[in-house]
Order: sequence, then structure tokens, then C-alpha cells
Amino acid sequence: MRQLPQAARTFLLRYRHVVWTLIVVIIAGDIIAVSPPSDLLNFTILGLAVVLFLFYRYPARNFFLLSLLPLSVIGLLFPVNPGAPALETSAVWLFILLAAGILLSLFRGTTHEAA
Amino acid sequence: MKRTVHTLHRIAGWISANKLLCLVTLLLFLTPFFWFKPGEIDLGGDGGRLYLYDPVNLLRHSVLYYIYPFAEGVVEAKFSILPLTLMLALFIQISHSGYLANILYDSVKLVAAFLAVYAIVRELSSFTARRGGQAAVCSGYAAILAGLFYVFCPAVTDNFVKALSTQDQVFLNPLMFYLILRFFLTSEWKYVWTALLVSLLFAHAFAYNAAPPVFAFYPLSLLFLLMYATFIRHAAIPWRRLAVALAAFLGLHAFHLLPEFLDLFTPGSNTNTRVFNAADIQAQLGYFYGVLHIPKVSDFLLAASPTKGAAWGSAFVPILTGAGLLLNRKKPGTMLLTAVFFLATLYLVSVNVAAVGVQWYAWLLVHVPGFTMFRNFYGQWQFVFYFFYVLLFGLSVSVVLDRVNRTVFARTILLLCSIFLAMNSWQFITGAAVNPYREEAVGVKGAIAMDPRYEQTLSFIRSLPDDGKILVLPFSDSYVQVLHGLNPDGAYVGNSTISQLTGKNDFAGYVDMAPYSDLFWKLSRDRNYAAIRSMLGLLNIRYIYYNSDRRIYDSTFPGRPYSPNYTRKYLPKTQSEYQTYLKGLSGQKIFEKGFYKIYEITGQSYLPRIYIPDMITGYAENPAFGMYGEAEAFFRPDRTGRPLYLEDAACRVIPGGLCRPDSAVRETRTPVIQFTEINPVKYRVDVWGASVPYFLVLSQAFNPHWKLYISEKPPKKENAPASFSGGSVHEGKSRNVFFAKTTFETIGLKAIPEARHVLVNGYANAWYISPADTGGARDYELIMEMDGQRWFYLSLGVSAVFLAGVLIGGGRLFFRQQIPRKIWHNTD
Repeated sequence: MRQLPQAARTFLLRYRHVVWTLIVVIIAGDIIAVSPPSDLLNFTILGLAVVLFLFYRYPARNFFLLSLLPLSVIGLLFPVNPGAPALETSAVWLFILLAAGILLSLFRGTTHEAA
Repeated sequence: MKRTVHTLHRIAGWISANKLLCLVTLLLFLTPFFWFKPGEIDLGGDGGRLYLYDPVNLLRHSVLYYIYPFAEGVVEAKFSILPLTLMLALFIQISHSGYLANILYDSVKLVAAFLAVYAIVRELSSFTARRGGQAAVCSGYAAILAGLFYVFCPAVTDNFVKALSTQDQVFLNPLMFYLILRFFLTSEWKYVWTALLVSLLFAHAFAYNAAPPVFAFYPLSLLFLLMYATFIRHAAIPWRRLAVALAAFLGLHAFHLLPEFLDLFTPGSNTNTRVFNAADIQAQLGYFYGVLHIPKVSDFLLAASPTKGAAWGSAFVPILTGAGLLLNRKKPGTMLLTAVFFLATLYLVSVNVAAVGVQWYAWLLVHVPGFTMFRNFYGQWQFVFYFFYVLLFGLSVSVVLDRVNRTVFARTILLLCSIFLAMNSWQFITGAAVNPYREEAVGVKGAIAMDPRYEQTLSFIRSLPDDGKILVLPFSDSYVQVLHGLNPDGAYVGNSTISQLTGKNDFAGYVDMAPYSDLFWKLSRDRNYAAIRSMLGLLNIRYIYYNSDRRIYDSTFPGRPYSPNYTRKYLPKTQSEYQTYLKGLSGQKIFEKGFYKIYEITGQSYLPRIYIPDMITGYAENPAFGMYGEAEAFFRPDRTGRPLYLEDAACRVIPGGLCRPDSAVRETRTPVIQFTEINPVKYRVDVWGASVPYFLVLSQAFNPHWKLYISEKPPKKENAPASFSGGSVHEGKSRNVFFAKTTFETIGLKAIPEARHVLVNGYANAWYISPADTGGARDYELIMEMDGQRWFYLSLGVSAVFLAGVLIGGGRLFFRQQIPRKIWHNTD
């Protein structure tokens, strides 16, 4: 991340909320838009999110926070329309975000347990 | 006395401290009592749980032998069910109630599953419990919730319907997991000892038939346990003890593992084909892509199922789990490790998380030998997935309750979740989901109260002479037999009970009749009774069992397994038409009790199980007929005498002029024989007057493990109860001896070379025997034996030795605990 031009670093730091809003909106858009699931789209967004997590030095826990989005969709949508395609997309996003959060936690070594 | 009182006090104290746990356990134990009416038994999918009905006869006629008496004799090692059948035989001898056995068996499953999951979650979340007080209460509540979630998750509840014996994994998985966990943490032998004995009693859950659940659960679970014990609990894994335990496991299970291993490396066996045949692997891949669209990631995350009543509330499980992951601060390692396994199994059970995931799974199916057992991925991985989901859920609830740290909140969560789980699984609790109406039938369920008149029929069949197989009518589309129960809303649809409980081979449907299936249908459609009799004779079918119950054919089962487009298209369409069909086909009614009738097919067309042909016909194989129609390539409806049909390729390897490709040779100088069944895998054949080469036919499914030995004893004439083929074949008195002094008499005897063991009549075994084989003798004794059975005897001995060792070890452990250590060491 240190190789990033200063201007880009400043931009990302200044507009971090905008960046994260965009990420959330893209994920929400993918969930809501009824389109065939795309590995390319999913992994691009995920890759971007991981890079940003590392850049902002967010704790891995924030991925779990992000996973509240698809989780909420599941919680709200399932009682209303159990067959909705968005439900499946949410579940896939939940899987991806949880996996990213867990892997990041493991890599950062946040597994030590107090006895 | 003092010790007993002390123990009772301790038990009372434990119950008092765990009232809620005891209450839930008691309720779960009682639940199966609501499922069935007195007398009813749920015999499972395909009738795979006949051991609950008549374990004694199942043991006597099916379980102990390398051959299952379906159709022409299915060669398959199914010995693993032996310990459970023995245990149930003992129980039913005492209780005289299959109903009670069924109920208690289901109760044990629920209770053991619940308690094992409870204990695991308590152990994994022990960081809270160790602090005592409020935290321990939270951990206990979380463990109870996890146990309930497991017992009511779709993998458990949905698989109670048409349960197979492998469904026992629902309680064995968590139980074994807990015992191994405790062993890793404490290195105490008592956990290994218990695990070994449990695994032996339920050996069928560790056999080839259970390979998918075993290989789905144990490798992942052991990896989890090793990582947990090593990295999180920093426990020293007792590797030596583990190696001893593994050796003891293999030794105890040798009685079924060795014969199954033999099956695996027998070319053409079901097991061998499934694991190594490339064409079969491609077919399995096609199956995988065919079912790929069915499972949904969301369904698994929500633990949703069509049988769930209040599925709308299912979101509470992922929400609580997510909350646990977010709030978890104190013990991230346990939670993260569990979450990794949860996600890995979520991928395996749903595959559809990404296109690249699908490609990778398909690669595994093609390139990893045996991985095709997971072609039905959502069925095979569901047990291990829900198991890890339950652990993650239990840990999460524990974290959430611990963070809030209020008893009222904990109790409210417990109450709400328990109410929801109970509501969601209400159909399961009441039994409506366990014993539902059959989808292919009108107004009948699966649980059946056996008709005593049918039981008398089975007794009569057992009393029939050994030679002669049975045709089951009405004839089904597949291989199943249908039987209405004494209860008006119960019917059995499954593998034939006749073969399994009497030992008589029977043909219940189209699949059983291969390679004569298409021929039988066509001849039946034309009502060509003489040709049908001739065909049945070639299959060694001598009797017809006919169930005239109008309900099974005319009203209750209008479709499967008697579909209008299949069996009804060729065979009689109604029971009335069956009466006419039977008149044309059979001769003599020899038994009748209620709906159940036994006919004996009369006439000269019948061929005994072992015979010497007097007409040998070569024929060219025609692949166009397929495996169910191959008989059309050779069958001659106008045949006389004792024919043998030999495919040209096999015909060419036979020396001399006895067999000529694509033409018939008549042989009049055939010897006289007398055969005696020792047991279903061994026959003694006495031969008189063999002056020229001849074929000896065994009308059982061809298998290279059938061997023909030349005995050193002279032939011995018995008072033969039956005589066939104009007195050229006699049947001696059958003994059905499982084990005797003569069991290993064939070891060291000369066998007819395998090159002259050929497939005849499309399915049967035949040996070409020349005078040179017998040193020119004309009168001698032969022994036909399925040599795979020897492996069973050998491996049974190995298992017995290991069992003795394990029991002695257990006794030693017990006395070590009873007698204070000091005294023990002084006397040791």
C-alpha cells in the first residue's frame, strides 16, 4: 500500500466513508439485481474490499460487520418470500464475507485465547 | 452398601443441578412414543431395517453369508449389520416386540445425539463454564440450545423418513466426536474403550455402505480435533495410544472390512465398478451436474426444510451465529476454527457458492478415486455440515449470553429459541413427518403392523425344499415387494422380505429378472405361458408367491411400483386378470392363508439349481438388447431337456467338440448327480458315471469367487427327497450349517481351473469338467464353494480375538477405577 501515489492515498483516506458506501451499495445492488451470479463480479468486489481493509488497517471483525448486510436481507426476505432469488445471492455474499473475515483473522493471528 | 448410597446421592445431586437438561432429555426420549401405534414398525427405506422386525431369521438366512438371496443371488459382503442384528435378536427374544425395539432405537438416537452435542458445546465453551456462576449457566443454556438445534435440524429430522441403517450417524457422529475429543484432551483409555465398543455395536455405520457419511465426517472431524487440541488447548496428542486405538478399531471391524476389501478388488463387483470404472465415473459426473441446481446455500444457512412448520423464523440461527462472531473477543481461536470448518462444509454441501467451486468439485469427482460417492453432495455432506453449524451456533449463543450476562436475557433467549425449534419441528415431534403418507400411494403410510397370516406364509416358505426360487406376484417395476399391513393405513414397500427372512431367492420385479426382464414382459404380454414356464425354469424358479390383496394392486398403488406404463403394460392390469394369468402359468396351489398363496409350477421345464445340460447352444452376443434384454439373444421358447446357452466367445475357449459357436450340440452321456446344500455358499455334488467331458451348472449369479473343488471323498448316496430331470438330478437333504468341522475342507483341494469357469444362460455359473480333472474317475464328489466366505470366517476370528482383548482391557480399566490405586498397585 505504501507504493500508492500520495494523491491516491489522500483521496482514499479523505473519502473512506464514500468508498465504503460504494462497496456496500455495489454488494446491495448485486443482491437486489436479479442477475446470474458472476464469479468475476463477486471476486472483484471482494478483492477490492480486502485491499481496502488492509489499506485502512481495519480489524477483520469489520468483515463480520459487513456481513450483517446480507444477513439482514436473509432475515427480512425469508419470512416474506422464501423463494426469492435475492435470498440465494445474499447467502453467497454472506459466505464470501464470512470467509474473508475468518481468513483475515487467521492471517492476522487474532486467535490467541486467554485461558 | 455405603458405596451404593453414595453413588445414588451423587446421581440425585447431579440431576438436581441439571434439572433442565434432564427434562429435555426425558422429553426427547418420550418423543418417539408418539410416532407409531402399538404394533407398528417403521422398516425404513427399501425395507432396509428388517432387523427391527425379525432379526433372528435375518441372521439365519441373510446376514451370515457372502450372498444375499435376492434374485439370482447377489454376491456382496454385508456382514457389518451382524452386531446390531445380534443385539436386536437378543432384545426381541426377551421383549417379543419389534414395536418396542423400534421406538427405543429411535429414542436412543435422539437422546444420544442431544447429549453428545450438549457435551461437546460445553467442552468447547468451557472457558465460560470454568468461571462458574452465571457464565456456567449461560454455557449450559447454549449447549442445550445447540443440542436441540441439532436434533431438530433437517439432516436429522428429514432422514427419519424412510430411514436407512446408515442414518444412525445422526447420533454416532457427535458421540464419537465427543469421545475422541475427550481422549485427545485427557489421554484416558476409557473414552477409547467406549468409542470402540460403540463402533462395534453399530459397525454398519462404519462399513462400505456407510462410506460416504464416514468419509464425509471423520476426516474433517479428526482434523478439527487435532487442530483444536494442539493449537487451542495445547494438549499433547497421545499418538501411541491413538495408534493402538486405530489398530483395535481395524481388528474389531475386520469381520466386515476384510470381505469388503476383497469386494473392492474383485473385478466386476459393485464396489470395484463404483470406485475404479472410468465409464461409471463419467456417469456419476452426469448425475452430479443433473442435481447441481437442487441445493441452495440459503436453505442450508437457514436450516430450512419443506417439513418445517415455522420456517419463517429460521433466520434466528444465522443471526445469532453472526452476532456471536461479532461479539466474540475472549476465545477467538475456537470460534474461528469452528467457523472455518463450518464454511468448508457449507461449500461442500452446497457447491453452488461460485462457478469456480463447481468446477473444482467436478475435478475432484473425476480425479480422486472413490470421490464419486459424494456425487449426491447435498445428501452426503449435510450431516457434517449441520454438525459444525451446530457447534458454531452453540459457541455463538454462548458468547452472546456471556456478553449480555443477564439470567433473564439468557432464559428468554432459551425459551424463545426452544419454542421456535419445537414449533418448527412440530410435525417431527408428533410423528407426521417421520411416518408420512407415501407419495406414490393412496392413503397409506410406511409403518406397518405385520399381518400374522403373512408370517405363517413365511414359515411355510421356510419349510419348502431348498431347491427352487420364487416369483413374486404382482410383479413390480423395480425390485420391491408391496405388502399391506394389518393396520389399514400402513404398507411395506421395499426389498423382498421373502428372500431376506426365508433364504429363498426371489424375483419381485423387473430389475431382479435381468437379463430376462424384457423377455418376461414380452412373453407375459403375449400370454405365452409355455414359454414363460420354460424361461422361469432356466432361472430355477419353482414357486410363485401371489398376494391377492386388491388394495396393493387395484386401489392403493395405482402408479409406482406397478406403473401403467411399465409392468401393467405387459403383466395383468388388475388382480382379477392376475387370477387368469396364474391359471395359465401355474399348476398347483400348495398354500393359502388370507391373501397369500403359494403355487408350485408344474411341468418338465424346471431346471434344478445344479444340473448337467444335455443340449449346449452357442450364441452371438447382441449389445442392442442391453442388460435387461440379453436373454432374447439366446432363449428358445421351444426348448426341451436341460439346455445351456453359452456366448460364442466363452464357447471358443472350451476344448473338444462339446460347444460350437452359433450351433447346438446334444450330449446324451451325461452323468447322474446328487447335490446337497450345506449352506447358501456351499454345495456338495456327488457324481456317478462321468465318462465324457460335461458342463456342471450352478444357477446362481456368476461370480469368480464361486469355485468348484474335487473332493477326495467318494460320492455318498442319500435318501433324496426330490428328483428332477427324469431322475438324472437328485437333491440331498439340506443342512444349512453355518460352521462345522468340514468348513475348511476345501483348503488344499484341487479346483477346476478358472479358465473353464464360464457365464452361461446369461447369468449362471458353469464349469467344464473333463475326466482328466478327476484322474479318470467316473464316480466322485465335488464341492462348490463361494471362497469369499472363507474371508469372513477368517476375519470373524480376528474380530473375536480383538473383542476379547478389548473386553479384558475394559475389565482392567473398570477394576482399576473401583479399587483404590494403592491397593491395585500392591496386588499388581
